[in-house]
Amino acid sequence: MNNLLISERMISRLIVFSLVFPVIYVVLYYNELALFRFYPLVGELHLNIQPTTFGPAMTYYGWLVIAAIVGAVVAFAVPHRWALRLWAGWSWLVPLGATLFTFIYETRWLLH
Amino acid sequence: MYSMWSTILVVTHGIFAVGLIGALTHQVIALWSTAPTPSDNFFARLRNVRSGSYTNAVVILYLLDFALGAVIYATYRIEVRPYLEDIQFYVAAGSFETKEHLAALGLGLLPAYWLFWKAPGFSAHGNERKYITLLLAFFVWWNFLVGHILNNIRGLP
Repeated sequence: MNNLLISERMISRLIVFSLVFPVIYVVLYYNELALFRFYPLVGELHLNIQPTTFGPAMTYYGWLVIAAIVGAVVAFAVPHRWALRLWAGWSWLVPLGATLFTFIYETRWLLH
Repeated sequence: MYSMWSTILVVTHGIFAVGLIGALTHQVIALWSTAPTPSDNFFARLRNVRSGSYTNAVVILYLLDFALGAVIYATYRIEVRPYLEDIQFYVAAGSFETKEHLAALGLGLLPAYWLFWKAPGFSAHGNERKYITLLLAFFVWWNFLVGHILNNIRGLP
């Protein structure tokens, strides 16, 4: 059944996406790089930082969109034969590394 | 009206999370324990379920729960986080930041999770399936507990 649903090429793309997404996401939030910001108080999206009268800015959605786009682009750009050579263990080691980094990075809240 | 919708969204978010916790915990127990044997023991029966059958449900529930969380997050950002910062409850605010990141990392992990359970040719990768499922289960448990505790500290208006 699954053989009919997914090709080998699509499998390698999904694996690459799962490897790239956490790396890009971590780089984005660590460097506060967002494609856009959402201002929930006024319910508006902006490409540039707005005055404080707009309320707090949310960068989360911007990180998600960029990580997903970059992940998809890389997944389609990496040649299939390269993707097949990847060690399967990266599929959990990379997200585990991103998770550990996240916990270490967020200890900054304890330093207030 | 505003309050009613917030409540409906938060409760639905929690219900989806409970479904995820149940499915993923079953899978983790099944993967990390020995081969199934017929038994009346509660934990042995937990182990004996066909855990692979939960995979599609986990992916769909995760996506739905994530979408709801992303909607609720905007209200949290203007109603709850400023309160936590005002009372200098930084551990709580920081825990939520971790929750948002783990939710995103889980989203990126979903394709690999699905492949290692369902894709042809992946049945030999038992260790990868084990660690990915454990990681996803940890994300869901952490996010559920942090969300639940934060809602007790200050619920959405």
